[in-house]
Amino acid sequence: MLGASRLRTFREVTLPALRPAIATAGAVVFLFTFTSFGVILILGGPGTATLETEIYRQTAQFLNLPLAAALTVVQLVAIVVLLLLTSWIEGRQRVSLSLRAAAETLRRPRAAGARVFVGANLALMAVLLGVPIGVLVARSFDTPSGLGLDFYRALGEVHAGSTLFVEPVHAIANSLRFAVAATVIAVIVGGCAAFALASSRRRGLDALVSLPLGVSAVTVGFGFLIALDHAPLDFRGSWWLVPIAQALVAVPFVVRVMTPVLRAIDPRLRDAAATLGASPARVWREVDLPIVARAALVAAGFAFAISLGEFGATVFIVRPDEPTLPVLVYRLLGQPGALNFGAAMAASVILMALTALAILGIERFRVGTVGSF
Amino acid sequence: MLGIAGLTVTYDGFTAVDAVDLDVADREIVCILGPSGSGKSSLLRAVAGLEPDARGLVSWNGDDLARVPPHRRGFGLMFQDHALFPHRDVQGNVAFGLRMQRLPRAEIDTRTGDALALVGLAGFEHRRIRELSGGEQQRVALARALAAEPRLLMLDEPLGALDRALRERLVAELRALFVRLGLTTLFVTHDHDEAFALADRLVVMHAGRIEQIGTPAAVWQQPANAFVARFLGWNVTRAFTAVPVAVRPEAVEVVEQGEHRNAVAGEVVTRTFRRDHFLLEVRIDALGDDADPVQVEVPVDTPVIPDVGDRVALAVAPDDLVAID
Repeated sequence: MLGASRLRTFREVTLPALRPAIATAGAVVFLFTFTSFGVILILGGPGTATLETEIYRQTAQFLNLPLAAALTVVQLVAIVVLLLLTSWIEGRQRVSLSLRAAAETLRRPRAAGARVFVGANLALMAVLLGVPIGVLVARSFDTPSGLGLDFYRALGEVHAGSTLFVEPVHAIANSLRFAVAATVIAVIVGGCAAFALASSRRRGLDALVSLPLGVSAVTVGFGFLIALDHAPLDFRGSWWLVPIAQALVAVPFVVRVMTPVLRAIDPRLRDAAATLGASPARVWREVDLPIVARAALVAAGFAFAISLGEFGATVFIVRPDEPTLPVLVYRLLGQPGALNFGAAMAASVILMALTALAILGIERFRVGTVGSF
Repeated sequence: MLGIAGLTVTYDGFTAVDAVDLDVADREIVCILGPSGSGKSSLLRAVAGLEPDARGLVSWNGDDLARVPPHRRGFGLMFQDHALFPHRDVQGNVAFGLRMQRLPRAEIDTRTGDALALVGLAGFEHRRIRELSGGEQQRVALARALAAEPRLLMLDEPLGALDRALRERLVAELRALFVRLGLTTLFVTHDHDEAFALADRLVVMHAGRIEQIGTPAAVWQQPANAFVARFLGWNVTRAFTAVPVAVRPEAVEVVEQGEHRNAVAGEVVTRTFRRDHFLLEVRIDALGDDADPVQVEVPVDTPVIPDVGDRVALAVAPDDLVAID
């Protein structure tokens, strides 16, 4: 309209507006990759050890706790520096954008080039995500004696010489039990943090709450393991240690979902309720709670899904006779034999199904414009 | 009776309301008129108890309300942007104040229905807020404030978001409603037509201070100072006298050069059509280029209407000149 070409428009308007988002997205991706554990533990050989897998190996195989602790500290420092850096960049570049609901600004890619670009992107993601999942599901039914449920049946048995102490099928119940407890803890703790964050303007607090997002699950698990093994803090045998560790991993997500909603509540709604005779406690119940409740449900769905799939922290502290599904998959893979491999695939499929259910639950409760994920 | 004495509201060193004194008698409709940023909304919020840092006295029938929280004051406040609860339907919004009073369910339903009928929204109980038009939302907000039967009703630019036709109709309806219900009302607006139509008594506010208090007719006929005069659309000029005086644009006449002994000469700089008249702005030769031009209303049925650039002579009857401070 003001005579800018499309490239110029992108450079002058779109890019500056997106820059903080790109920086944040980049930081989040880096954090997740930096602290990635499960994938590398299973795919990577000794030559590709990362801080994460090395911490686990030093702890679980060599019992070299001091070295593991040192590695953890190195990682923690790197993450804190990175978080402060992003917080600084975000703060410097935060311009108040007048954003609109996605539905108003969504447009279909029109030009052929744009279509190809978006299509190729989607196809690549579909291949990277879909193929492993599809193959996994297919092969979990592909037994030596033809198509069948043998691998699933194997989950109900304990074999001679197995290092599993219980029937693998118990892992489903364990996973669900831990995940429910972890969800309750994460929503309560994360909800409180979101409230503190929404009512404060200090940026340091934001980084502090995001810290668990970057502190790897392995660090959490390892920390629990070495911190809680002396009286009076010897809780290694307590069942709630696992849910707490999982909750700690899920809390940042709860905070990220709930804070924007809390910030979005118009303070005049509270004023209006007060002038209509509502006491402060009543205002909270009548105005804040109903609006927050939906966000809390979405946050709970996320927390549940994350807790179900949590591996890095759980593997450190879970008791051998109470494995969760991801831990079970890892242990089954560590044992020889086609049946164990097949059972691992079957357990993975069950885990995926449960997680998918939780995600579907989120989508049902999700309000159009709410939440930042 | 509402009493306000020495009320002061400051935000981070900026004084929004500066030592305001004002009484509102029972059943009186008082209108606070002023440009945006003059502290009108802050005054209402302070009276409602929503500005915890406000200094000065707010009293009801002589009782100091300093330690009375907003929800115990019994003052209703209708917000500029309505502040309707988005997660409740129309019924849920209007019934809110009655529920806070712990009234029985049947009475709540009856009074909610009555309040909605009063604002012309009977049968809207189960509509969602988002589905309503701006005018309907405004009526719901009014019904919500009225249903609770506050001992003082305060309205902050309640008609601001509406189109002109709807606003003019509602102004008449509102005044009739307030009088019929015998409500004590404190009303805030930046539109002087709205204020004139609604108010028993007018309070003109500027930069946190009260400039003038009086009946709409008294304020219109005798602005107390240059600010009030200009705000109401008067000229404040030295074109006809040695000291600045106020004169209404419709009192200034375009005359034949030389026909009038006290006529002043000038040049038309703008001409705007305004339904039944043209509004001219005339730069007076004797005052130089820096002085404000004089505004003149010329009826549309005048044979020759001067255009931009035309030389004109202006005259005014001595009775129409109003001395100001």
